[in-house]
Amino acid sequence: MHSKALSAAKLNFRNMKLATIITGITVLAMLVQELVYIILAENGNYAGWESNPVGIGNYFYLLVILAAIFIPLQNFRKMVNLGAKRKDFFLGCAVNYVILAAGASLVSIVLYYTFEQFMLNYHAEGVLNVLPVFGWAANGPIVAFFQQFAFLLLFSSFIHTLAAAQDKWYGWVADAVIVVILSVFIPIEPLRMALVWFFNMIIFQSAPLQILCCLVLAIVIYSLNKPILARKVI
Amino acid sequence: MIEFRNVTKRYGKTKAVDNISITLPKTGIHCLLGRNGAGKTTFMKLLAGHIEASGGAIKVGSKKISPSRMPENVNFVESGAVQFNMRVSALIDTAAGLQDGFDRGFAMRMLEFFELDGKKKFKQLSFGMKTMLSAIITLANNSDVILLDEPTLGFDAVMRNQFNTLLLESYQAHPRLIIVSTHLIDEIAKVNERLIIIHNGKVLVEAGMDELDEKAYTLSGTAELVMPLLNGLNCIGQTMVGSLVAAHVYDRRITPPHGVSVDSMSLSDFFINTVGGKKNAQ
Repeated sequence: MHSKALSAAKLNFRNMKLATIITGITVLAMLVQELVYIILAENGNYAGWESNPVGIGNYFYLLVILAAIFIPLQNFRKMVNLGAKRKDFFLGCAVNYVILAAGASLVSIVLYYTFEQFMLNYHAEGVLNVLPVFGWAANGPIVAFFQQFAFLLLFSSFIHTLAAAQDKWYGWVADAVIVVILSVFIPIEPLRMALVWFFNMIIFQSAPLQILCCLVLAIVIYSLNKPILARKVI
Repeated sequence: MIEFRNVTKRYGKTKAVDNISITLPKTGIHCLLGRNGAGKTTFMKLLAGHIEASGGAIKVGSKKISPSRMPENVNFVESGAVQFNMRVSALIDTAAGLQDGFDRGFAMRMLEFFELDGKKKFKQLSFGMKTMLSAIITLANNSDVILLDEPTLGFDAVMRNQFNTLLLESYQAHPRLIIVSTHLIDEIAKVNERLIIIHNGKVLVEAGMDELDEKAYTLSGTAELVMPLLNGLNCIGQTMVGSLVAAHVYDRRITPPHGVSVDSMSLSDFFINTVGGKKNAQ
């Protein structure tokens, strides 16, 4: 890997304070809420509240999403002002998303198999988590890690690309197309089936195929950043 | 060598750069002058590959320049460049990691020389210090072409003088092409070797300082003695007070008759008369 790209990645990580703070506050708030709930339950104040809390690990998705928004919007110009080239920014961000997706996936898996199992003692209705909902947990922690990693990588590539294009007309066209796809495809049966097929492909199908689909799509979508970056005015 | 061939840049209906053709040498400190909105920053951004030309071609060496082919050997920092809010020393280290051959030693020496506190964060610096830091980061780069847009913006008189030292230190350590855009004309005249004047998107003058010293002068005397001398000369401006006239000329030197004095024209007078006079230099 290009050393300048690694420097760019390092710089992005050093300047992720806002995304980290927002994620940290959210996770902390959910943890406090959960602890209060557990303390009340332990003290006999549990009145059979019906609640399906979202698994704490899933909140780390927020870090990946926010990073993919802030990095292209805030860091590109500043990095060029430090003498970075577009190619280094492109490669550096890819390193960021691979590490972030892997990190978020790892934390999510660890919390799912530890803290969330403990939470289940207090939530008879269960804890909502992407891992069992998408069926990844059934494949065991290692395969689930890779499934979640591939999905997060695709998600971050998509958000980064969309955010990077927002200062150009085609970024707005892409926004409009996404809104149209969601609003028009859902009510019309054949189009809805196309959406279902797509989401099956990136979420629900067998683990190897799901991972492969997500990785290939992530590479294809992230590659769109090359022409977008080339046209980006500084 | 840098070549602009019939380069035009339009923003909507406005031509920021209008059919410029110019060839620049490999080394030297060039001063880029022009009024606000003349096209100086656009000229630099085009050369750095930050924006796409609407027409024509720009070459650095044999390589054609565009945003998708950003030149590796051209470094440009615009005025008021925003940086990450990191410690000054960390910004220098980061720039060293992002650029091949970054002269960290030069950057650290300059930080010390300008008394820039390496522990301070970027947002804690004064406007002038922020500009100085960006200039240091740019000049520590080992690129063949350095573009500085309004590098002395927000500087006090001492800092402006120090900046000239910085520029010369950098040039002596690594001779290359340095283009400086500024409004502080006479101060940059102390260090620059060539001058480019841009007006309404066109290059009006591209000349060496020696050539300007020779060809730019003022004839002063009574109107009846001075006016006949101007026939066949390129007079770029005149000032009349009563029967006395000061005629600003950009042309061959003449030997004036008794009663007419010849004085060298300052760079700022030359600039003012070139872009604001009744006639333009040719």
